[in-house]
Amino acid sequence: MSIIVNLDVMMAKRKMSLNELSEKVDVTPANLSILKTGKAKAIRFSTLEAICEVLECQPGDILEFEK
Amino acid sequence: MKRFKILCTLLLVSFLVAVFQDTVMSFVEGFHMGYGIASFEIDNDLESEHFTSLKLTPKTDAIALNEDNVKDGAPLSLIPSEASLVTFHMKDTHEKTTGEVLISIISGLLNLGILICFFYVLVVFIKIILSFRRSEVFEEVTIKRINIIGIGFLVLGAMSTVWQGLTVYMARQAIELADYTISYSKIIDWDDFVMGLVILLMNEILRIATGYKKEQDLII
Repeated sequence: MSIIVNLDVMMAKRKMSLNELSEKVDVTPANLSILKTGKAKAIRFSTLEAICEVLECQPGDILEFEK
Repeated sequence: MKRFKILCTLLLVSFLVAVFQDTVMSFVEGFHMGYGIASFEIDNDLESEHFTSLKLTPKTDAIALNEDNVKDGAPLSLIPSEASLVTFHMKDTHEKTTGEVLISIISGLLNLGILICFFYVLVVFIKIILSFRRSEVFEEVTIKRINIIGIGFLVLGAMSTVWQGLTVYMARQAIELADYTISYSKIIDWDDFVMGLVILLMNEILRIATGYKKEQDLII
């Protein structure tokens, strides 16, 4: 997959655990884990918005395109 | 989901009633008929041959008044379209040829196969309905089970057709009726074939839906 999810990098930068993030964005830890490990097929704008808001970042900080 | 569970329950109940009516009652009737024939054989020192569920077609269009209406005593015409025939002959007077014995064995094995296949399909069907009631619809195991039922119906149709064909062949070798022809015309069991194909088609739709669900589960 050429879209890379850098959620773990941003979480490390903000020193936030998966459980803490899941509580704040209201997504189950299991689903956040799927997203973090790159197994997700798609991400909803609403989820992306919530993650960006909690981690105080841009969508581009979480998603990256690699050729 | 409540509506779905109610429909599943209704389907299960209807199916069990249908099985009771078509299979259990038929078995009981068959048992009574077999008992009657066996008693007749013993009492008269005879041997019999059975040909069940034969399709009959009249040789002519002429209507014969061959029955009576007990209610008003008026004669009426009984036109059978399906009948079971039983022939009787003296003991040890009818020597079966090797071909006849072979066909009898194949026919018996097919009968056994139909019975086993039917009960297997029945068990799988009940398992599916019970899993539906637990809301396990878009699951791989459900798709596999429905596939088994679809293929089961096709196999049942094929075996019934061959069995019916052999029965008609054996009946035509042994019997010639004055007014009716024992017909090959309806030996193919289209009901089972159509049912099997419809189930397989619906299962393919379920397979596609399960694929969509899997993808949907990976959208965060």
